[in-house]
Amino acid sequence: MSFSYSLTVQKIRVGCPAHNCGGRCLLNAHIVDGKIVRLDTDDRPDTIAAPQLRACARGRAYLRRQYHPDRLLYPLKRAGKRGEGKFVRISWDEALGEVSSQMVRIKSEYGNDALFVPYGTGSYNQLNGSHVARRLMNLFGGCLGIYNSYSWGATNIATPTVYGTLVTGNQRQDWLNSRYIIMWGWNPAEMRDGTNSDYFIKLARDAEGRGARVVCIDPRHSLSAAALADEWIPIRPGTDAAMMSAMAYVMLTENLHDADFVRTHCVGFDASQMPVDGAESYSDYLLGARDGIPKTPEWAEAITAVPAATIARIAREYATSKPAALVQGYGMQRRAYGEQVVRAGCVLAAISGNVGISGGWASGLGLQADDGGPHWTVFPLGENPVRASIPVFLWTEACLRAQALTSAEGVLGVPRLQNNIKLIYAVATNCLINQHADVNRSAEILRDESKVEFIVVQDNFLTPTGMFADIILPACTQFETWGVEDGWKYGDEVILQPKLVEPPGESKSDYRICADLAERLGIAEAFTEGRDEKDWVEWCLDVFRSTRFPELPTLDEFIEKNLGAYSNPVTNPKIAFADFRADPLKYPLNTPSGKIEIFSKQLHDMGNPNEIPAVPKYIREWEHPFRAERQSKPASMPARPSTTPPSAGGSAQGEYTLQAIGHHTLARVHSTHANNDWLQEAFPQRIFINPIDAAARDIHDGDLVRVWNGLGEMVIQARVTPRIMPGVVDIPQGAWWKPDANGVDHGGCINVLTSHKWTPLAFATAQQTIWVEMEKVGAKHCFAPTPIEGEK
Amino acid sequence: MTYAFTFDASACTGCKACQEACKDKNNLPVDVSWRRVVEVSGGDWMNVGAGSPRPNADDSNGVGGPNPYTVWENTVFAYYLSIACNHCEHPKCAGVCPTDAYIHRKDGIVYIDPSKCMGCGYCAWACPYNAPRYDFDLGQMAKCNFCFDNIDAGLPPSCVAACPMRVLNFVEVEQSALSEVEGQMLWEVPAVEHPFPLPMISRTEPHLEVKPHRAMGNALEKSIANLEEIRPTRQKSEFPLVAFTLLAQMSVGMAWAGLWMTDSLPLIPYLLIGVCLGVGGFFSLAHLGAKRNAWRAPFHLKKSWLSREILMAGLFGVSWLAGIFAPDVKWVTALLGAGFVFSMAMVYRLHVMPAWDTWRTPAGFFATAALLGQSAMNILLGGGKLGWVVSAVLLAVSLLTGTKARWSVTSWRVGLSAAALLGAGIILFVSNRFGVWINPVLFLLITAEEIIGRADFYTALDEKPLR
Repeated sequence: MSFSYSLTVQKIRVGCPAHNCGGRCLLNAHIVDGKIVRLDTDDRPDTIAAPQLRACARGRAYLRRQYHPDRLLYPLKRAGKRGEGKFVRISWDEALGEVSSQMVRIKSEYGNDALFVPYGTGSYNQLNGSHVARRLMNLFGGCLGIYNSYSWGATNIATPTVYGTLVTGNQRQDWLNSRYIIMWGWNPAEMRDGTNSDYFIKLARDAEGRGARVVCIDPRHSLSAAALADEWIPIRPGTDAAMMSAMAYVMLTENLHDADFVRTHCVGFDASQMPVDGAESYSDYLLGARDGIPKTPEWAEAITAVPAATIARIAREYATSKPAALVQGYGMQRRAYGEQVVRAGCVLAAISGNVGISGGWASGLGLQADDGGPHWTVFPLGENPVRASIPVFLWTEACLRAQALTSAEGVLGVPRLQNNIKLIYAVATNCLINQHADVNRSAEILRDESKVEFIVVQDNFLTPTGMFADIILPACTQFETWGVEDGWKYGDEVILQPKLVEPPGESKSDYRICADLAERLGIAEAFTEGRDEKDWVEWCLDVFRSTRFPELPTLDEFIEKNLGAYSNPVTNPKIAFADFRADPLKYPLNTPSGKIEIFSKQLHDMGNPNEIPAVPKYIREWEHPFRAERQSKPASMPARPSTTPPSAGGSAQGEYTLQAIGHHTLARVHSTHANNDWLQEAFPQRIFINPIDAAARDIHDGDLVRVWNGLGEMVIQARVTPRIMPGVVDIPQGAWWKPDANGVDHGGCINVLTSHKWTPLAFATAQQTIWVEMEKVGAKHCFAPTPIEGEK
Repeated sequence: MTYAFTFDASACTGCKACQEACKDKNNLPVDVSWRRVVEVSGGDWMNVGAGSPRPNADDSNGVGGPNPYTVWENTVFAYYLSIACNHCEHPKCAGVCPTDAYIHRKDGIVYIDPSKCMGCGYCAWACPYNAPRYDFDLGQMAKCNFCFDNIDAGLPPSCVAACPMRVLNFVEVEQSALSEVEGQMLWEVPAVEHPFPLPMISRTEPHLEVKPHRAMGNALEKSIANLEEIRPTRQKSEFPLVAFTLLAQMSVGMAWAGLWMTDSLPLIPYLLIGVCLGVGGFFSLAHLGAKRNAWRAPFHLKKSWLSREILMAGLFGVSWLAGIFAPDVKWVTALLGAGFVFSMAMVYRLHVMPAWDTWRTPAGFFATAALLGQSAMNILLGGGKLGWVVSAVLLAVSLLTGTKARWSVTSWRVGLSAAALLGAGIILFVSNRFGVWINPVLFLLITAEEIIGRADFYTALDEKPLR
């Protein structure tokens, strides 16, 4: 068998299908008779300067998704009520005719700003995904724009308030020069945050003679904490800024901060460098000069549950173990007042003098020096003739009350919106239902056909979002068309994705579907410019070659030599802010003061000091971590919520005693792969709960539990583990919503519990601010992957 | 030169890329993973803030009112072990395999020839690491073969090439790559020092080198945290083996009982000896996933007690057959039966199964054989009072020699036995007319007791940590 296999197999290096996974890796596909039969990974030389791009479990289990019997093969049309999930097969001709005529109708009845392409990263290379539809819309006269992201909502806005840029990270090879690394809510082993990021941290920790001490601060003992950290410090979710403030307090009062750097490179640290006379400086805040509360470790201990001595020790270690890197994760900025933790982290890096030096790290978002790292989209979207755009997280508001939305709620380009969203063209996205906050609310909005009048969903599978479609368009996977990608946030590679196999059924590439629609809309020539997918790949390679990769081979060379990926070796990693550090006057930052803004006059001038302070502060979340504990009487638990929970902003937190978080699991990329049986087997969906909290509820490992708050309810299996701190439960995000007749979710979709209330400055998601209660509903339950019907 | 896996546990994230790469290369279904990643965790939480509520200054600044003051210290730890087949120096799996389906290459790689495996599952019992996995689709055992096709092509095993942390590797033993200060070459240290949850009992010299995670050395209680991830949702049923061993033992016991109870057995009881053996044989065949290879079962007499058991079963059966025509061979038959029961017991004398690897296993099997055979003959031959006295004694022996079990199981066995003994006692004092009615009841009580005991015998397999 192996003999004949080796004769007939064709091996082609191919980029691992790009989702929003935090990595960009290389696979080596084995193809026999037009079918992919195996996926090896990167087999090129492995060096620190250009490490192999080894795929994770999701990439290696990809064939279970690729050849899943539930793949969408034909266009479908809704047969029942919207959201019921009843569909009938139709022809491409009928499907494209319906979609194009609805686009024309909505455009003429309401205007282009009633058209909407939601945020979506379910397919995310240059030629596949929602941006292709965005190009179509832009050529069709535009659609309501979006800005910012679910992932980095607060940090995208908050980081520049300190540094004037998002490019605050060194190239990762420089981590090997650190002596002290704080992984603050940062979990590269699971979230990835760049292929090889966890590997680099391991190299930094184990570097001979100069290894870095690695500290992980996280409510959850993550895979990164287990494998990389010398010390794990659990902290109450949503209180990180309090610990950061206390660390700054220790540094200030013990004179451990880099006073010279602060004097020459920062503003707002103390009264001597205030852009606004008489305003509260950062030192004022720390010492309690205005509010009377010194931000001592003891103060922070009461908030964070981290012992004061630990806080003080970490502050001293971080301030004195130079160079030190404080790398921030993103989960903690997807919270109420998520802007503060970003700014507080940046300020710690600044006052400890770890900005602009090798082995240091400026904190904040941390795009890679010196050019911001990989491109997200080089495929040309064109100009959007509609000037109005909204924060990506507020699309439900634009479905409900567009004319009430103004700049006060983040609207850009126009004073206020004119039209509610009337047509949604959702490509490779599960954000309408599964991944947006408060699933029950979103579902209620979308069920109402008088609000959004037409929904078309284009995807590989019938996702929970797809269930709300009027028309389903079957997209092929990235193995079935051409594509190209570069790194995810970090990395210096271009990775080719040649078409390996034919799409199944009548499925087509995102690009081809949009091109076919463009033809119906009379803009085919403008859309395609005469190119097919492969031609556009060549076009993208030209862009890469003219920007970050001057030596990039041609497409023909890529194919002929089966290169798969082209890597720029990083032998001399670039350091963010190195020139600014060397000469702040010659190379000022892009901030109003040209310096690091510990105090931001821009924020000060917004006049909302309680929610948008000018210096980073710990602000108690709107669901107060402590009020809940006072009311932890089981007798006061509310009855089962009604099937239509309150749709008002914010959740009715009150009696709930557990904070919930939802980490990024290796079982999925957000909601992609949720139906992959190998990954379900490896990482079954469950709620993680500390033995102390479990014992109080008579919950044992493997029990079926009910989890609920005022917004929704789910039934899920419990994993009792000391690896989550008491008072906190963890439901890995992204599992598909499976409501029963009563609206109770059985899929483990955390967003039935999340609130759609957004953060004050960035209008960003605060989905991680969750309070729940839980109880046991059944005894030991078997963790079994969903059987795939129709197999064997 | 021998290949070995090396594993740096200090930086394994438990990401399972190795496991999925293995499944992809070998096209393994759900529930079959040749490489599995074990999560070990433990540690405690201490609320060091308890009992020391502090006055909280200003509610508006984030410090709430009088709340339970929690400040957490912890000793929580976790580490991962990625475990497949360790390609042992002395692969027990290969030794016990009745069909001799295992191939041990000169370079140390141990793999299964699927054209020979009959899917009995015995190798998995014998392996300290449960490396051979039962594949329900194939009906055969299958396990890590070190990707020898890759090795032969100069490539690393798929799992090694997959490891995003570069912590899973392989070496040729003479040129061990990890520093010996940090690495622990498991084949050179006693098994009792192997990191948890690798079993403390192993003489196989696993070709695995582990650089320890710092938590491996702590004194805290450790447990496998992710059993639901590493144990298949379904296991091969051992019920056919309960039926086979009991029926076969009863068959032998009947041949023994016939020796002293009568000069020559009547035809029906004699035929029933063969019927029991035959039905038992049917169950043992039913246990096999790949019956087409069952004929190979006696092909490993040199090492495998399972092969010897099959051979002895055959000889016993042939002798029984011969006895139809030449009744004088009954002593030979009885002797071969004893050999059969002995070899059956030896099948379970596996070093890695402490519950089985005692004198109790052969003693219990012999007692069961004699007990069931005697009790059956008591009915068939109208054994009367003496027969039941013998049965009662054997019942006590069977109970006392049984493997140690949970009290819930033992109490059932004792209860049923007490009822049987009571019945036997009644028989001693009543006329044979009543005995006819009590005999079958006694037999059923004793059989039920033995079935419970035997079924429980197999649950010892669950105690293997990596099952």
